[in-house]
Amino acid sequence: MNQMRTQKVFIILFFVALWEIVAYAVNSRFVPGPFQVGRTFVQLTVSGDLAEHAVVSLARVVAGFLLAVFIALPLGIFMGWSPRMENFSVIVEMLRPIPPLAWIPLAMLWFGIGFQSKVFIIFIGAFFPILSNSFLGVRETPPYLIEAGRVLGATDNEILRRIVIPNSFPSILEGLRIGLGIAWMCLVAAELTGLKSPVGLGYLIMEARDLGKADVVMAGMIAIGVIGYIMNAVLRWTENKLVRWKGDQT
Amino acid sequence: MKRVYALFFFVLIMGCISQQQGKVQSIEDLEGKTIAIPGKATVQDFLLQRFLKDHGLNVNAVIVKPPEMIAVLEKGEIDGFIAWEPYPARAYVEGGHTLLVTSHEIWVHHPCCVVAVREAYLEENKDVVLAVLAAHMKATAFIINNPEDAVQIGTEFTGMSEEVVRKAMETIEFVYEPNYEGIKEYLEALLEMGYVSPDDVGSTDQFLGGFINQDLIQEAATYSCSGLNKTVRIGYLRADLHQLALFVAINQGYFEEFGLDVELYVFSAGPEEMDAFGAQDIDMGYLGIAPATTKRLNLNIPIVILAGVNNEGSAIVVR
Repeated sequence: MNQMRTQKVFIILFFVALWEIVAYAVNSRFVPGPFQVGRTFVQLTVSGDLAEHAVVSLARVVAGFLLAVFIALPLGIFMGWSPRMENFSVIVEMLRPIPPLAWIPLAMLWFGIGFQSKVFIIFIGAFFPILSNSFLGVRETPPYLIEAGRVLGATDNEILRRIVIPNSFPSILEGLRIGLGIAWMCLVAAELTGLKSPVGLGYLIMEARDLGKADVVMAGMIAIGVIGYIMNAVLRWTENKLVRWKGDQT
Repeated sequence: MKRVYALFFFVLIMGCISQQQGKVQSIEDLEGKTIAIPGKATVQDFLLQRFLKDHGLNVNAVIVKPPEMIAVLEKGEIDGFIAWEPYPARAYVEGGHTLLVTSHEIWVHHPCCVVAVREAYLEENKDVVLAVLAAHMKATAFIINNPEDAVQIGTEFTGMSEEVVRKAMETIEFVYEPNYEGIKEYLEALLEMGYVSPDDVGSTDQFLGGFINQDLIQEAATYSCSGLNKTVRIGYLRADLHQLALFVAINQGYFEEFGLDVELYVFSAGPEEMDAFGAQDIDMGYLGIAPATTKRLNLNIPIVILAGVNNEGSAIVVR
């Protein structure tokens, strides 16, 4: 474990060194080096700007993600459980490949430039992985488990609640993790244009772009990367705790 | 579980009911309102800030791309916007919204769009650049001398009605000389706003001496040549009536007269067009002086301003 950690640190240092060399070689404002970006990052952190942008972005992502969980999770389980509902997957399969970015014009028309339109874009991003993973989890419940339940006299309701849902837990959690990851990735797209309150990490990046400040763009990207990494790590940890009986999920 | 769902949707619905805000009837009513700009460091951002400073007002400035501004205004999400024509005229003619202030009232004869060229392209293709400038001058003269024909071309360019374009043209001054003093004032304000750093500018006159080339437009006045047989990539902003000269030049075949083949690249705001200059994806471009100056300095994108395109021609619109 300790050795792995040392290796990780080494890899990060190597990456930063490589970045510095490239920045030095290119010698252009287009590619600010790690030290300049680091300085900007620290300045933004100390001034509290970065925290403000991050909190607003997190609120948008959490809202969009929770909305997706509330709708996609029951729908996915229902679709997996009910043979008739399965046919609805035609529509899902057609909506799924549409990138959240393509929804932006409609999101602005339908929900304006406030909180709701950002939440909508993030919702779209998180919705499909959650839906398909819970659908597949339920669908792939081994038939012998269901048969065994029936033999023991369980009702449909009991089979769903006691057998199918617990069994599809790993798949559902995996879907939640992917969904949250994609929700976070949709952030910049959601904050790209038209913001009623001009804050958020995506906004920070777009504003810096307009002003031609590549170091601020990179500092914003790093903030998104770090927060995304932490969220993923927390979910993985929870996943391993919750489904320990399934063995190591990584 | 049912209660959780009920609560959830209740909050959602409450969130969707946007509060009604007071209408803006006078300049003072703008205080604390939400006003959209096309982007940071655009000419309109600059004009709005200057206007607010003059009147001691504060607003919440948000970024909305001009083609979306009217829809967002009508949804009641913003109280007003500042944009290039013909968007203000369209909001006035078609939506019955109020033109609160024209940019003429904010700053008389303020420079706005300019023609810029990549430094390296200028060095290698001076003949092409002169031809484009000559066509630009001819087209500007055409607009001034044939306003009715220009309105027709403007409707094709912007896809908006004759009435809107005619109204919009009232507030735009079409020019071709680069407005050195005006650009200097921009630069000083950009420094004051902290958009650009004094370390990059150094002496303003020295910087502007290299940034603005005032000689080529004079040279272009007497330029004549045909059969250049060259292609030039020109950027412009979507439905920006300020840049009508570019479309008049195409419509009237001025580029063809010089044997120029023009490839057009469209952008939704000046800062984006500057990125294309940086990537060497365009050779010349029509864009606002504010993003051109800001990104020339902050990203060191080597461009030179050769000509003016218009003065004035923006307005603040309110619901």
